[in-house]
Amino acid sequence: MEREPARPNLVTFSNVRQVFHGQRVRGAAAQGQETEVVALDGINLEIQAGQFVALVGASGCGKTTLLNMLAGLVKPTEGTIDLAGAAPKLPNMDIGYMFARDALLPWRTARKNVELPLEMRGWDRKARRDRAREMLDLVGLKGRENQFRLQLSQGMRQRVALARTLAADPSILLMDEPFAALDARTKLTLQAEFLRIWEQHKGGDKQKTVLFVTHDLHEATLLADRVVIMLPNPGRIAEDRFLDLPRPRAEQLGELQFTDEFKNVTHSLFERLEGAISTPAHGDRSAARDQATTTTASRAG
Amino acid sequence: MTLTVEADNAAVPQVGRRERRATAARRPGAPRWVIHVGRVVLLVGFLALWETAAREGWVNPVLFGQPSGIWTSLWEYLPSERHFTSLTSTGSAIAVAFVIGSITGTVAGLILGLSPTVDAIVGPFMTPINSVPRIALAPVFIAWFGLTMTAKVVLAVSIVFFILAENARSAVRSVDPDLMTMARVVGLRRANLLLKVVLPSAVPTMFAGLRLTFTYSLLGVIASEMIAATAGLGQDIVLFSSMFQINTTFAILVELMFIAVVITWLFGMLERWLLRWQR
Repeated sequence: MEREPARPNLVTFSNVRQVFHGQRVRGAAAQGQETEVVALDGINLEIQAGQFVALVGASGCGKTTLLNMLAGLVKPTEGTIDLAGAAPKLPNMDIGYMFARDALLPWRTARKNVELPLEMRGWDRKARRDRAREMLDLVGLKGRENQFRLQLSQGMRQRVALARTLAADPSILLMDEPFAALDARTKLTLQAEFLRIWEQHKGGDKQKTVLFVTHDLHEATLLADRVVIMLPNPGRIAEDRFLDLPRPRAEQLGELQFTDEFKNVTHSLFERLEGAISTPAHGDRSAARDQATTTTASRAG
Repeated sequence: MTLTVEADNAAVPQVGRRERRATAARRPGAPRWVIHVGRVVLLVGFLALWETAAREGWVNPVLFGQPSGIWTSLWEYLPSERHFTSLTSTGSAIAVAFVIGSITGTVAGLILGLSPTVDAIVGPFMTPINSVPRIALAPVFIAWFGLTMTAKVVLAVSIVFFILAENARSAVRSVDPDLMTMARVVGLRRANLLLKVVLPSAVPTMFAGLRLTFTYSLLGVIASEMIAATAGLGQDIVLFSSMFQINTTFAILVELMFIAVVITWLFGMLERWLLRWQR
């Protein structure tokens, strides 16, 4: 209803393959051998503007590589990526990238860290300061703007990182396991805050497209509109499912996770994810892979 | 259910800086006053033993000096014309060597750290050159530059340069890759990347190097003066020790120690201010 099927894609991955060359070992190189890791293979993915897409999978399945490709940090070995009509470039001022580790500059105060992307966008001093204060208030860090990284708890550091990611109001958010290092309670609080900010802008001029990488299926279901399940060796898409859980839900995250609807969705996704991973026999595995490649986006509910 | 952020904030008490410092300063073991008293006892005990040994004739005071004699010599030497000339000569050489050595060494280290090509070409020469005992070069430099300040400065710089180059190189190399990725995504490039991420990251390591640099500037200049110079504290050390005025020699060493301590303390202050984010 709210999604028009004809809307142009913001992001299109076409037949993307990524091969990383391992460190050349002297002996191996002499024999003409080189370790090759196929990080991603046969990736086709289309994302419309304003979607909240979660990429879920075990480590080593290339989720982060996908984000790095969009950020322009990694170029695909084969295939093409289209981001708003062009190949991804670095830096891209429309992108906000949040990392699993806070990546705060420890010699800068919380406020000066939030100001960093604004400095790069040519904001003047006063505007930067006001915006940084506003963002820190928004993530619940009022009164902590002059503290350094080491004076902040893990949760607060991720809040500062979140404020920095959102400060310049980017239209594309790349989130690489942003809440993975937090304790359960802080995690839920931050998930809710992030979702609240995203839902506020949903459908408006400032709507944000989110690619959210996580290894936690529960988190993916809780936050996203669409869950893309990825499998390793080589990294590939096994399932691409749209969810129809109620929105806005930032205020109900606590309850949502105990509803039957949520449990059913998570359960079926879990079987898809873990079933494919834990199949030990080689024959079964390739069968699972065939199935994976033929799976088309299906809407649940 | 409404999720609030207040609880999370309140859960972590705001730790004041002073409080932190106090916690950090407290080492396991004896209380602080015991440590202070221990230090005083050690120092006073050592000086008393030395003084007694000289007075009782356990050691020859002409060769070994004695604390009371050093104290007297210190106050005779410090106000003298000779001391003034020597101190000016040595002090200016140390200052010039320190500044030139630090700047050239740091710049060279930054280039080596940032450019893999230059590092691959020049890098292998650094260690062999640095392993030459620099004191052995003092006569060479004196032959080249004569009994000038240049000869002293060049010797000191030849030591200091390599310390800081190596220091800056490893400092730049060890910048947290996460920070670099973040910075590149945010849009920092070239000069901005260097000024806002690479250099600030390097500061803690650089400071460790700078402290050594001062000590080694002092060492280089004094050593050069001891071999040959028209004036300088190094010349005075040679002169007074050859005249068996051991107390005056020790007085000069006390003065050098005092200068080194003061400068190191100043560095400590600057470092603490620059690195206030580390506490």
